[in-house]
Amino acid sequence: MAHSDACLKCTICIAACPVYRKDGEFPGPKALGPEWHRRHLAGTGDLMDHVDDCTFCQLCEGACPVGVPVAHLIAEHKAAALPKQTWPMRVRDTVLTHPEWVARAPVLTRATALVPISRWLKLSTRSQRPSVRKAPRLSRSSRRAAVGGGRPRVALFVDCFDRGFDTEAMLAAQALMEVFGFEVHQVPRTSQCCGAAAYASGRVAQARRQAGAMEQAIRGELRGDEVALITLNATCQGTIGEEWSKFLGLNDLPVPVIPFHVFALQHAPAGFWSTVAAANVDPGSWTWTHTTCRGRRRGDGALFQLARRAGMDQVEPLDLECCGAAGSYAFKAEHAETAHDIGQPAAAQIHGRPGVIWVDSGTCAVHLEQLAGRTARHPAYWLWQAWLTSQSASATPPAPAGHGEPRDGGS
Amino acid sequence: MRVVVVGQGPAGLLTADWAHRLGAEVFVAAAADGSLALWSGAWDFRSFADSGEVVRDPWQWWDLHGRQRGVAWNREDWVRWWTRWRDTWSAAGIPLAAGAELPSHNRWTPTAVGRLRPVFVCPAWQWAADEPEPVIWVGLEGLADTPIALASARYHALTGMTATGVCLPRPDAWVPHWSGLAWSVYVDSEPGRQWLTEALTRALRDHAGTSPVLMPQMLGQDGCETLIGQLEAALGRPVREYALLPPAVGGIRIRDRWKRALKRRGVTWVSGTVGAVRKEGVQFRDTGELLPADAVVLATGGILGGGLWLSAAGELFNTGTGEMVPWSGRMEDLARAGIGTEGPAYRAVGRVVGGFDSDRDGDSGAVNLYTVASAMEALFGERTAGEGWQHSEEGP
Ligand code: SF4
Ligand code: SF4
Repeated sequence: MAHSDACLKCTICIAACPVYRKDGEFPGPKALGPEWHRRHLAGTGDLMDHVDDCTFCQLCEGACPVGVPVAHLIAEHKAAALPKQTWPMRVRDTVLTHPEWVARAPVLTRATALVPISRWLKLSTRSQRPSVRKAPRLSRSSRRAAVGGGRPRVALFVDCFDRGFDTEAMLAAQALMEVFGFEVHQVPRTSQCCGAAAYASGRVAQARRQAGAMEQAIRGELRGDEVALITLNATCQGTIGEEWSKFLGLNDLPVPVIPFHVFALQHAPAGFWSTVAAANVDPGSWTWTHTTCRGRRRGDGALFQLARRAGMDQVEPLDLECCGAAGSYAFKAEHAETAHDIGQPAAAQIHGRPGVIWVDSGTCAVHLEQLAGRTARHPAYWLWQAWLTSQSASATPPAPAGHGEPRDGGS
Repeated sequence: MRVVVVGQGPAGLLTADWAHRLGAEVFVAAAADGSLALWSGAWDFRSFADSGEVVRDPWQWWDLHGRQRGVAWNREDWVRWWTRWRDTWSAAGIPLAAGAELPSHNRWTPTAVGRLRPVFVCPAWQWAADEPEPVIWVGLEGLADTPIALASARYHALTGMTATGVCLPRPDAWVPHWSGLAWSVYVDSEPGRQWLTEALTRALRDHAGTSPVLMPQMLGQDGCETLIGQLEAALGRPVREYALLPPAVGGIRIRDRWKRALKRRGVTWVSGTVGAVRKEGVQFRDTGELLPADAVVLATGGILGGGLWLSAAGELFNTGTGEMVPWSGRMEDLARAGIGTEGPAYRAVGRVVGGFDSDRDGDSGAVNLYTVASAMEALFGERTAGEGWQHSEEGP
């Protein structure tokens, strides 16, 4: 990895780490990443306790002034520590690092509601499980393009979470982009994982295999004229857009990979925003936006701009760098407490005020909803609701229609 | 107007804040975190004269020497912009020490090893005084940055004032790797707060008087003002901090509060390394994406902050644009090297403008204030004079 030995010991990564700032036993990114790695290369790198307590949020890496791949060095450290895992944990992590299996049969998560099973697998009994939100059929008239003319094409990436648990958000994104004037097709057809979950758990070789299979599937399904591959999950966005080429040995895809909300800000026509804003869907209510830790690799504030542009009444970012969910992290029993401590400030911030949360990852939405007691969904879902309201206000009766559900799984 | 600020250290955040107050749509483009987490939060205006002697009145120093350094302000200008900076921090929830509304001279603040250094203004949590006074100097067992015997002896030797050294035994929760930041996490928790209150009360039981208690900078993060208030009530004395080595809890408090306030006001962050600055915006090196802008402000820091890069061949480059920067080639000039306040497609603020040696002279606060205010005047003209200025933004 480039720059792995560039650490200046400045400590800026430590000041960025959400786990270090909640858990007194956590040695922090500098010690677990570059310092361990130097010893490891010298053959004196003993495995350190608590390396698995790292959420792989990558905030340390984003903060480092000299580009040390801090979090990815920690992932190697985790990989070296894998043989120390007990076998129930191995079983558990095998399932958690194959979200593509869960996406095919989301009903499986119900089994883990049985406390003895969860206990044995060291699954958290505290962290809420996602519920399945299956899309209703979409009306054709509500999806009419707001602009005419030839329609450029985009591919919409179907991530495991949305495939398994939130086809509503997936179809909302598809319908919105059609309204923006694009032809949309979903990739990949079959349930696959980009490798994010395995990488976060230190299963680097497995991540490489999963990513390779996913890359093949996507390449095979791209038609060659797409202007972008659109993602709904910040973690998959970061994995496909950045880690595949930088850390997993894959070539960049032939299209730019762009989060849905960024695409919407760039490509939705002005008329769309004015129509939605005029509908004034949430008078007196709050919209909290949260850019997930992995989303921050691109920056912070675009979700806030999206909610404002859509005319939401009062918009406020959550004061969190990371909510603590971190993919499957919060579902592991040994991490439940830290995950909840990290996200807890959201509850204090929201306290007593009505409103909803817009967040660019499904697992973070589940976690925030539990902590803050407010409905948390993907921005595509909220934007689509606002658009539907604006359309019913304009009194055109929607005609029934239905296509576009993911072809694999989804129920 | 759409303004892109490159960099998120103190000069970058100040630029973002003020450009937003003046009505711009503001984007902060940054490749990494800024320097705030390395700094206790004390603002120097001019601590040392060129001779190395301590400056008592920085306003006067700038009156006398500013023009030679290319600083065209008179006292009225300084005070106007100073007041705006102070209000900006206060709106972001960063409290200044009492008496700091409009300081007239440098005060003294301690280092972790018992030296005193001049400082113009500190946040409310840090100890600073007009004249040295007797103090209780507290260290923590297990925090190597607080060599208590050395620090209290040196303070006494330098000032003639008593410094009663007190070392608090470590709590059960302590772990050998704890930095000041980890200690602050602990005392933010209820058991930690209780431990600290009891340990301090016990340690000071036999010490009469009301002299201030100087604690290492670890008195919590967002809860720090509450904790200090509780400790003062329990001890019947003022409680303040002295700065430690990084990660610096004071700068982290400032960073977190300031960024939160800016995000709530709608300032947008875009991550990435800027590789080119053009009239139409900044271009990121990795992705080639263009972030459009009507104006670009480089707040990338000097050679130490990473805004300049010295190649092995001794050539100096502007890391924000990739352009070569002319310089004398003499190492002693390196700290003062910079890119000037203006380039073909940007303004520059903070140390990267060059001509200042803030580490030696202790003037980074003044340099930031002057360069950021000048950029605002260049970009917004008359609006900076009064009407266009918004003071009313709510804090966090
Ligand atoms: S990836 Fe996140 S949790 Fe892990 S060390 Fe870095 S900042 Fe901390
Ligand atoms: S931020 Fe980077 S250079 Fe600084 S201590 Fe961490 S890894 Fe090292």
